Amino acid sequence: MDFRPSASQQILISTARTFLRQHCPPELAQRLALDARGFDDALWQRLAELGWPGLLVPPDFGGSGGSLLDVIVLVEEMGRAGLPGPFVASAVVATSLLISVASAAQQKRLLPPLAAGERLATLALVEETGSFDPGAVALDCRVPGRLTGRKLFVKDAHVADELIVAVRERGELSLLILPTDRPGITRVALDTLSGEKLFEVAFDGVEVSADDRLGAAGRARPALPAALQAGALARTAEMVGAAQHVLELVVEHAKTRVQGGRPIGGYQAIQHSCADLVRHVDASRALLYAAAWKASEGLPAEVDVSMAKAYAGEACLEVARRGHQIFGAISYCAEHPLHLFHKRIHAASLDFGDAQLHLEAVAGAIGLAS
Amino acid sequence: MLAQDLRRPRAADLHEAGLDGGAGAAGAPFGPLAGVWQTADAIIGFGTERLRREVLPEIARGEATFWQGYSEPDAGSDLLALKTEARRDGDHYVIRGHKIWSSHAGISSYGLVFARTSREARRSRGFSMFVVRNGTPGMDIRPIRSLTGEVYHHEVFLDDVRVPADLMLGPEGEGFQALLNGLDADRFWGRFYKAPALQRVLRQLVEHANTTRAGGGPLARDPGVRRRLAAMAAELAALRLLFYRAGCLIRDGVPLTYETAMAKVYADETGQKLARLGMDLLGLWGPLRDGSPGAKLGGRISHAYLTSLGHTIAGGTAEVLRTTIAVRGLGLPAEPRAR
Repeated sequence: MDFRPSASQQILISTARTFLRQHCPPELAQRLALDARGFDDALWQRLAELGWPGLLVPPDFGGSGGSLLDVIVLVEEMGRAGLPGPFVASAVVATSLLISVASAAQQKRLLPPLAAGERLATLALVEETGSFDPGAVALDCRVPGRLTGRKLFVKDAHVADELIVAVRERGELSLLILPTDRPGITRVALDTLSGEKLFEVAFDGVEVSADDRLGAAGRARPALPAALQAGALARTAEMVGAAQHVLELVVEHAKTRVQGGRPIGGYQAIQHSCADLVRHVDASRALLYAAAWKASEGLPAEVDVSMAKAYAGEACLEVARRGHQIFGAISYCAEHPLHLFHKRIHAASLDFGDAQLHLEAVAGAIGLAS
Repeated sequence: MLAQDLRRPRAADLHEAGLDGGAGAAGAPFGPLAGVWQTADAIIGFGTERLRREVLPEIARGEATFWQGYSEPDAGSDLLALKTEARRDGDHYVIRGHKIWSSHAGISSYGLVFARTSREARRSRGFSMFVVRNGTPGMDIRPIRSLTGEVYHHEVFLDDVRVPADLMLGPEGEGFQALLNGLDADRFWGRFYKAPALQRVLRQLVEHANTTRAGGGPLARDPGVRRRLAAMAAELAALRLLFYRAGCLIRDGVPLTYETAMAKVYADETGQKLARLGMDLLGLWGPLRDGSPGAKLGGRISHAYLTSLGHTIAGGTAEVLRTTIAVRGLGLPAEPRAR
C-alpha cells in the first residue's frame, strides 16, 4: 500500500496548482459566484487546452484515458482553488455515463467534443423527493413520445449543450440525451448560497425519439451507480481541496494576527482548534483516496465512496465553520474568501447524495438489519 | 524476525503484528507488547554491548517485558520537572526518586527509568535512561487500583537503587532527545492495533442492535442508531487509514512532525466515542460489569467505557498532542513557558 500519488499524478497536481493559481485566483472565483452566468469562457478554453475535460475519455475518442484517481487528484486542486464551473458535471459524471452506456455511434458523436471541452453535458436526475437514489426517479416517458415534467437541482444546465435525463420507461430506468435547445425545455436558475449554478429544468411536451435514448431501453439502472459514485468522489475531492485551502488560510492568519502581544496561533485555544482541522482534512483525504483507488481498480467501492462522502461532508464543513471562528469578524465580510469555500463545501456535501443517503448505504453494508 | 528488522515497522511486519486485522480484530490482549518492540528498537539503535547481549535475547525469547518509569507525582505533562536523580558511583549509578503511572510494572521484568544525571543550562539536557531489573534492592513497586477495580498502574519508589553503568540506554545526558526521537514509534506501536480492535466492538454492537427489540422491531431499525453506527464505521475506516499512512511513513524513514500525534489523539477519542455509543445502545444493561447476571456483550462495553477515559491521558494527553500537532505540524508559535 502506498499513500503517495504516482509520478504522473504528481505532475498533474503541480501543473494544476500552478495553472489555477495563475488563472483562477480567489477574486475570480468570487466574481463568478456573484455573476449570473458564472462561466468564464476563456478559463474553460485554457483548461480544455490542458486536456482536462478529456481526462477520463479513451484515446480513441480524443481523450487521455486517465483513471478516476487521476481525476480525483485534479478535482482536489480545483476545489482548493475554488474553481467554479461544469467540470464535474460534464467531464466526470456525464462523460462516465457516456462511456458506460452510450452506443458506439453515440460515443463517436458525443465523446470527442466533450473531451475537447467544445461541448458540455450535465445529468438531470433529482426530482421532487430531492434524492440522488436512482430508485427515486419517477419521471415517466414513452419513447418515441413526448416528455412532460421536471428535474431539480440540475448543475450548469445553462451552459450545457446536452442534458442526460433519467426517466422511467415502462417502469424501468432509461437515460435520454436531449439538446438543451430542444423546443419545450426551459431552465430556471435557482439562487444558491454557493454561487453554484443550479437549475430547475422543465419539460413541456418535449419530443423524444428512439435516437435520443442513451443505450438500450430500460437498461440504465446498472450504469448509474458507477457514474454517481464518480460524482460523489469528485465532490468529495472538491470538499477536501476546499478544506485544505481553508486550513492554509487559517494557519496563515493564526501566525500573523497579533492580539495580546503575540500571534493568536500561540494560544492553546487556537492551536487545539487548528489541530482538529488537520485531522478533519487528513482523515477525509485518506478515505477519499482509498475509495478512489478502489473504484479506479474496478474493485467494489460503493461503501468506501459512501464513507468518504458522508465523512468528508461533515468534517470539511466543520473545518469551514471553525475557520470562521478562528478568523473572527474579518471572515464575515463578503470580500473575504472563507465564506465562498464554506458555501462550496456545503453545496458539495449535498450533491450526489447527502450524509443521510450515504450513511444508510454504510448501515446496510455493516450488517444492520433493515 | 532479524534484529535489524525490528527497527522500523515494515508493511509485512505490520500485517503480521495485526494492523491488518489479526491480533487487534481478534481482541487479543495487547498488554506490554508495544513496550517490548520499542525497547528492542532502542537497544538495537544505541544500546551498550551488555544490553545487546543480555536483554535482546531475552526479548527475542519472549521473556522480557518493560515498564516505563517516566511520570512522577509532580511531573506529568511537564516531564522535565521530574526529580528522580541518578548519581554516578564508580561503575554504578545510584537512583533515588519516585515514579508513578507505570503500566504493568508489577508483572514486568525491567523498568525503563528516566532520571536526571546532571544539572545543565538547557532544561532538556542532563537526563538519562536506565534499564533496571525488577527486584533490584531499593526498588519498591506498589499497585494502584484503578476506577475499573483492577490494577494496571503502579507507583515505584526508588531508594538508592544501584544500577551498573552499562545498563544505561543511550548516551548520558541525552535521554530526553532519545525519548523525543522515540515518540513517533511509541505512539504508533501504542495504538496501531486500535482501529481493528474497535471495528470488532462495532461488529458486536451491530449484532446487538440486530438482536435487540425496541419499539416493536429490532433496535437496528432506529434511524438514529443506524446513523450513529454507520458514521462510526466511517470514522474507524479513516482511523485505520491514518495508521497505515503513519506506518508507511515510518517504514520509509520520512521525518514525521504531527502524524503519529494526530493518529493517537484520533484513536483515543474515537475509542471513547465508540464506548459511549455502546453504553447508549445497551441502556440500563450498559453499566453492568463483566460477569454480572444479565450483562450483555460480556460486560465488555462498560469496561471499555472506563478504560477509554485513561487513553486520552496516558502516553501524552490529548491537549499536549494537539499542541504538538499545531506547533510541530503547522508551525504555530509555541506558548511561552511560565517563569
